[in-house]
Amino acid sequence: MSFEPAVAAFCCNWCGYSAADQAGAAKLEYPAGVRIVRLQCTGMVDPYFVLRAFERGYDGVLVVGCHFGSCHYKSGNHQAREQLDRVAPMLQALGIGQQRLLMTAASAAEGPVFAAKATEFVELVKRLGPSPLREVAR
Amino acid sequence: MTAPRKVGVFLCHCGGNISDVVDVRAVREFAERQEEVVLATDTRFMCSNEGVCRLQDEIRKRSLDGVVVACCTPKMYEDLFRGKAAEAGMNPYLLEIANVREQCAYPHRHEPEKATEKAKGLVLAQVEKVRKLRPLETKTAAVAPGVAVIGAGITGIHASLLLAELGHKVTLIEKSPTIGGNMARLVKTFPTDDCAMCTLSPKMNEAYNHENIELLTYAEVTSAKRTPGRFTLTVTEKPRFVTDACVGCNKCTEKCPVSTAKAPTQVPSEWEMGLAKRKAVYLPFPSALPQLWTIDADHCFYFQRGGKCRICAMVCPAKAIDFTMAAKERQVEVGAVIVATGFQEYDPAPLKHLGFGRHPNVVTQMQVARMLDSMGPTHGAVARRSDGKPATSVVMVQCVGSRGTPGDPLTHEYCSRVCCMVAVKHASLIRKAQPDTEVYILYNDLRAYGKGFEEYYTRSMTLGVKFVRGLPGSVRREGERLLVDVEDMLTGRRLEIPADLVVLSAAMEPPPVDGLLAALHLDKSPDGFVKEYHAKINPTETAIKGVYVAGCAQGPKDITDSISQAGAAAMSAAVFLGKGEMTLNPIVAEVDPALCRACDRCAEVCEFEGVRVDPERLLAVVDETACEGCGKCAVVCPTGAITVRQFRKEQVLASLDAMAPMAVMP
Amino acid sequence: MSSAAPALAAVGDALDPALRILTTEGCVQCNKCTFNCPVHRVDVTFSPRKVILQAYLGGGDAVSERDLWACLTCGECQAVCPTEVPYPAFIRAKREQLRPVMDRAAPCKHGGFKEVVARIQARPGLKPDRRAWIGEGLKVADKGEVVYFTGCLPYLDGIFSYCDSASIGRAAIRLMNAAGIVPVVANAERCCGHDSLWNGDTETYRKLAGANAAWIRKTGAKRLVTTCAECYSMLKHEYPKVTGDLGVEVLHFSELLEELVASGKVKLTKPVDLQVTYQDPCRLGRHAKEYDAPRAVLKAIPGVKFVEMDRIRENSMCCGVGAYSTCDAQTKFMQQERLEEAASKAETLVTACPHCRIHFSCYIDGRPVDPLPALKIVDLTVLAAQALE
Repeated sequence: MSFEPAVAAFCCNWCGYSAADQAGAAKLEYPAGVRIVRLQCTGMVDPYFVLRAFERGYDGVLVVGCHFGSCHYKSGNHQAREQLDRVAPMLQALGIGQQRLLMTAASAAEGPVFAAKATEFVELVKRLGPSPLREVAR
Repeated sequence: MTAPRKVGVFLCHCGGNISDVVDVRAVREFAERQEEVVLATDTRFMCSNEGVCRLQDEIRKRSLDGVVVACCTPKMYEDLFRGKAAEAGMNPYLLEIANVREQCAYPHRHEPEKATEKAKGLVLAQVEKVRKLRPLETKTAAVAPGVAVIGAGITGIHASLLLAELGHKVTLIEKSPTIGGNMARLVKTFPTDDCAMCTLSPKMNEAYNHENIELLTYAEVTSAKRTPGRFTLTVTEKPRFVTDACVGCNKCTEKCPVSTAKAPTQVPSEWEMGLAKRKAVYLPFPSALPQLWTIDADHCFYFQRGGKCRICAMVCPAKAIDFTMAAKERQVEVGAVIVATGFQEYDPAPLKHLGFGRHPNVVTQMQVARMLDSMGPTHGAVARRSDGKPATSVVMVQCVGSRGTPGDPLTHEYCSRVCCMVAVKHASLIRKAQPDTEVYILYNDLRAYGKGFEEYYTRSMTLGVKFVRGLPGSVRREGERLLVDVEDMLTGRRLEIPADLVVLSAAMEPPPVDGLLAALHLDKSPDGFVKEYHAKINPTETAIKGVYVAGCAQGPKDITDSISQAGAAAMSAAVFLGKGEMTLNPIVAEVDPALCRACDRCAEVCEFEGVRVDPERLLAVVDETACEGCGKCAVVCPTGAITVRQFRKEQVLASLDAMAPMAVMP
Repeated sequence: MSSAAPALAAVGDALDPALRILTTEGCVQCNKCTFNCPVHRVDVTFSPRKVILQAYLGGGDAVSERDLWACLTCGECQAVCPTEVPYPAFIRAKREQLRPVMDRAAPCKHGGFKEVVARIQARPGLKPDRRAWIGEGLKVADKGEVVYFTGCLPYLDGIFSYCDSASIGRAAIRLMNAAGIVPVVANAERCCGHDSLWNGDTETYRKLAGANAAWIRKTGAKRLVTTCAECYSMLKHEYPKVTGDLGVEVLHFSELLEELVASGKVKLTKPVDLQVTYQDPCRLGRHAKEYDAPRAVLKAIPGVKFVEMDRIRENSMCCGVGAYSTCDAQTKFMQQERLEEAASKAETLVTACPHCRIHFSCYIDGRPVDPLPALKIVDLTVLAAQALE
C-alpha cells in the first residue's frame, strides 16, 4: 500500500479557503489527504499549531494565504511568514525537517493555483516519506 | 463540569452533488457515534424549505446547543443557517459548516472511498470544534451622530452637501482661509470648457449657507482620539486678526506695506501660484468664502517687527482689526470622518534639465491656468513672465514628475491621470484666444480615457495644436527665448523648438498631511496618497471603520471622478451612521483579564487600533468596533490572554486534531 | 467531604506517597509558607497553607485549578517551613493525579509550546539535528570524556526571539574548547523532561529520561555538564530515581568553570567592566543547593564588581514562572518586584538558567508596570566567555 500523506492546510478565509472552494467548483482535483483548517487570516497561524500538527501525525503542513500586499487584514500574511520562518529551523533541529512546512499564496480567484500547489506539496511530502512521528493509529 | 452538549449533525446530499461521491449514509452513521452528538440526519437539499424546517424543528425539539451542517461551502449558506438557527432559539454562533462539497465531493470525485473517509474527518472536525464553541452575543455600539469632512474643495463640499441634505450634522474643516480648493483656480474644465468657478460657486454658496453644515476655515485637525463609535477631533482654528465687523472695503489690503515695490518682504500669492504677490492682510480671491480678510502673521510687519506697523487698523473704517486674537482649540465629536484633502502640484525644480526655477519662462500648468483667468495676474494673456511680451510659441511638456523610474527619489512612479487632458485643454484655449501662438504638446502617451475626452482631443488637433511624441532632453536659454531639445519618436528627427513659454505638466501629489494621517492612524499607499481599504472594490473606505477618503486625497483624478467618490464616501458614511448604532461583529478579539500581562505586544501588531493597553487597569482592552478579527494578536500574546472568538486555540486545535492521522476513528 | 482518616483511604494511589510525607513531616498550619510565597504577595487568595489544609480535609479534588497550576514550585515555602513540608513535591504529585481529569488542553501559551516539543521528542524514530545552532569555529565531538547537555538551546530562540539563548551554549563550548575540552553534543539528546515531570506528565518524562540515559551511557563519558539549572537538577537528582545511576558526574557549568579557572585551564584575563548582581535560580539554588560555584565564577572575572541582592541563596526570589505552567496577569508584578531589587544593586543581572533569563527578558521586552531603571539580563556563561582573550 503506497503512502498517502496527510497534510494540514491552514487556509485564510479570504484567499486560501476561497481558492480551495474555487478549485472544487471548477472540478479541479487534488489529493484527498489535504485537510483544510479554516482561519480568518494566516496571521492567526501560531507556531504551536504547526508543532501540534506534526505531533498528531500529519506528514506536512501547508499554509495558504493572500498574496503579499493583498492581505485582507493588511499584513497578517507578513506575520505568518515571520512566525513560520522561526518554526522552520525548529523543525529541522527536532528532526522533522523544514521541508515539510510550506507557506504559499492563492487568491480567491486562483482555484487552479490552489489545486496545483496542494498537489505539488503532497508530491513533495510523499517523496520525503511518512513523518518520523507517524505511529500506527492506536 | 458543565452539562453535556447536544449536537445535531445535518448532512446534505445536494441533490447528488455530494451524495454521488460521498457515501452520506456511512458519514451519518459515523457522526451518530461521536461524543455528544444526539442526532445525525440527512436531507436531499439542506438549503430547501424542507431542509431548513428540519433544522429548526430539531433544534427546538431537542434543545440543540450545537449544530454541524455538512453541505456546500460556508461562503454560501453559513449566514442563512445561522439566521435560521437563531430563529429557532439557538445561538447562531454554535453552528458550523463542514465543507463536504467544494472541498471534498468535488475535488475528489474520482476517489469516492477517500472522499467518504475525508468527509467523515471534516464532519468530525466541525463536531469537535462545535463542542468547544461558546455562544456569542451580538452587541451594538452607539455611533455618535455627525460627520467631520476634512478639506473643503469640490470633493469635501459635495460630500458635505449630500450628508447635510440627508439630515446629518456636518463639520467641514478647511486648512486655508477659503473653501473651494484647487478647482477654483482652474478657469475652465475639460471636456466641456465650462467655467470652473461657475460650476463651483453655487456649491460653495450652498455649503456655506446650509443649516446642517458648520464651516471651520483657517482650521486644522491637530489630533484625534477614537473610542467605540466616536471620533473626537481636536481642531485648532488659527486667528485671522480680523473680526466680523469687517465690511469688505479692501482698504487694509490697499495700504498694507508688505509686498509693495520697495518692501523688504515680498509674499508670493498662493492663489495665483506664485505669479503675483499678495499683502500680509488679504482676501485670497474675490469670490472667496467666507468673505473674511486674513492677516498672515508670518509676514505681517506688526507681528514681525514688534508692533510698529498698524496701518491696516488705522485705515479700517469698521475697526475690525484685532491683533490680540488668539488661536482657538475646540473638540469636534463625530461618528464618521471623510478625508478630502485633495492634492498639490509637484514642484519641478529638482528636474534641472527642464529649468523650472532658473528660467522665469518655464511655468507649470496650474500657473498657466491662472494666466488664462481674465481676472488673474496677466488678465487672461498667456505671456512671457520675463518681460510680459505675448508668447508666440508655447511648448508643453507632459509627465513631469510622473511615470518616473522606480526608485528615483525625485519623481513619482505613478501616472497623474489628468495632465494629458489639462494640456489639451490649455492648448485649445490658447489657440482659440491667441491664434497666432504656436502650441506644442510633447508627450509620451496621450491618455484621453473619459467621456468626451477623445473627442476633445481630436478637436484640439483641428484647432492647430501640434503634438510631438517625445519628452525633452533639455530646456535651455537661447538669447531671449528658450530652446526645447526633443527627439520626435514618430519621425525620428531631432527638434529644437524655440519657445517663449515652456509649460510643465507637473504631477499631482499629496499635500503635506502626514500629521492628520498620523492623528487618524491612516496609512499611505506606496504612492503617498491615503490608503483605501481596497483599490478595486472599496476605494472610499479605509482600514479604520468610520473613516472614509474621497477625491484626490486617495489618488490623482479629475473633477468628475472626485465628485463620484465624494458621493460614494458620503453614502458609506451615511450608511454607517444610519441607525445611530452599529452591529458589532462578535467574531473579534477578546481578552481574559486573568491572563493579561499588559505587555503591549498585541497593540504593537494590531493595524486597526483594535486593542490598546489601558495603563491604569494594566489590561489590554479590545475596541470591538475597530477589531477586524485577524488574530495576529493571539499569536504574539505570551500568555494566551487575547484570542479571537470562534477561533480560540482550543477550537482550532479541536478541528486539527480531529482530522489527524493519530485521531481515533471508531 | 469526610474526616481525615477515611479521606486518606479514598484518595488514589498517586497521592498516597505525598500525603504520607506530609503526615510524617507534619504541617503545623503556622502560615510562614504563605507569608514568604511570591505568588501570595501578588494574589492574596493563593495560600499554600490553605491548600494543605484543604488536602487534609477534602481529599483529591479539593485543590482548585488555580492553586494547582499557579504554584511556581520554587520551594520558598519549604525553605522557611519549620517542619520542611515538601510543598513543591506535593504539588507535583497532585498535578500527576489530577491532570487526566482537568481539561487542560494547553497550559499557558509557552507551556503548551514546550509541552508539545517535549512530547515530540519522547517519540522514537526522530533524527534530530542538534548541532546546526552551534555555528562555525567551535569544536564538538560524538564521543569523549565530557558531555555537554544542551537542553532547549537549539530551538528556544524560535519562540523567544528577544533573547538569543543559543549564545549561552556557544559561550560554554568556547570556554570548554579554550580549556582543551571537546565536549560531546549528541543528536540523540532529548528534552530533559523537567516540565513534563513538574507538570504531572510522568509518562512523557519517563520516556525522555529513558532515552537520555541510554545515549549518555553509550558515550562512555565520565562527566556531564549543562548550562541550564533545570536540566542540572533533573539529571543529577531526579533521573537516578527512574533510570538508575547514569554513570557520569553531573555538573552545572558554573561548577565546571570554577574548577577550570581555579586549575588555570581557563584564563579569564580580559576585563569586563560591569557592576553585576546575581539571581539564584530555584532549580540550582533551593532545589540543588548549589549557591557557591556561580559566585566563585563571578568573583574570578576581572573587572566585574559583584553586589549581592538582599534576598539571596535559599531566600532568593523566583523569576516568576515555574516549569512554564502558568503565566498570567499576576506574574508581571512578581517580575517587577524582583527586577526592581536587582536594578537597585546593579545595571546587569546575571542568571545561571536560560529560563530565568527568558522570563525576565520577556517582562522587560514587554512593558514594565512601573518605571524600571535600565537593566541588562546576562547569562553567567556568556559573561565569563567575554573575559576570554
